[in-house]
Amino acid sequence: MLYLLSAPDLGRLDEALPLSGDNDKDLLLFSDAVYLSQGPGMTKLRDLGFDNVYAEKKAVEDRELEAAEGCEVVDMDEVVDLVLDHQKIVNI
Amino acid sequence: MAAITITLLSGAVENEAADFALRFVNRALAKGHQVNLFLFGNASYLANREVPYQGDKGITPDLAAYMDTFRLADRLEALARSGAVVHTCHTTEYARGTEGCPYLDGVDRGNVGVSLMKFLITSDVAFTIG
Repeated sequence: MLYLLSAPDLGRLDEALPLSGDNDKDLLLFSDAVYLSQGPGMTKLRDLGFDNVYAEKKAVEDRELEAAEGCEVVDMDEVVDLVLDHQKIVNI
Repeated sequence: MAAITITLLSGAVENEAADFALRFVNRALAKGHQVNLFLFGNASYLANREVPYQGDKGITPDLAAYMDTFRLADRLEALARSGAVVHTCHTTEYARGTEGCPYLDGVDRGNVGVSLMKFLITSDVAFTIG
């Protein structure tokens, strides 16, 4: 399951994570949520059990950020592929 | 080729969801996928033709140029020309008093019960954003 997150609000994730059950949990950060791609945010996301964390490239570049280790920056072509690969998408 | 439906909940400016969605649609079409875009809630504001103010705008050209970056009408029409199927929810338009406003080229009046349902049952992937 691929979660889409637009705001750096971990509370939303707490509520939505049970939806994926035992399935893989991947996360795409976009908009202001890419602030979670920094070190402290990534630590919290790893603690929540995400298998893969992605950050949308334009949102990262617009904010002049550099994603921490463990967060893959993806362009929109790759976002399209992620959506099609996962099939189950949850926007939170 | 896959069929993808996006239900967009946000209009321009209020957040970046509409811009994200339109960039997604653009790249999905470029990859050869079929894309349906359903404009629901505040996203229904994106459905209508712009009505330029004819008087003095009262803002500097620099500010106007910056604000123009949030306007999505041209991009939405271009995506429709490229094959995106764009429907709006007339009920959420009614609630906003915009139901009778002219649509952009390529945007059609729609609803949840028929338009969105048809999109969903004919799609490989569907998601909501906004």
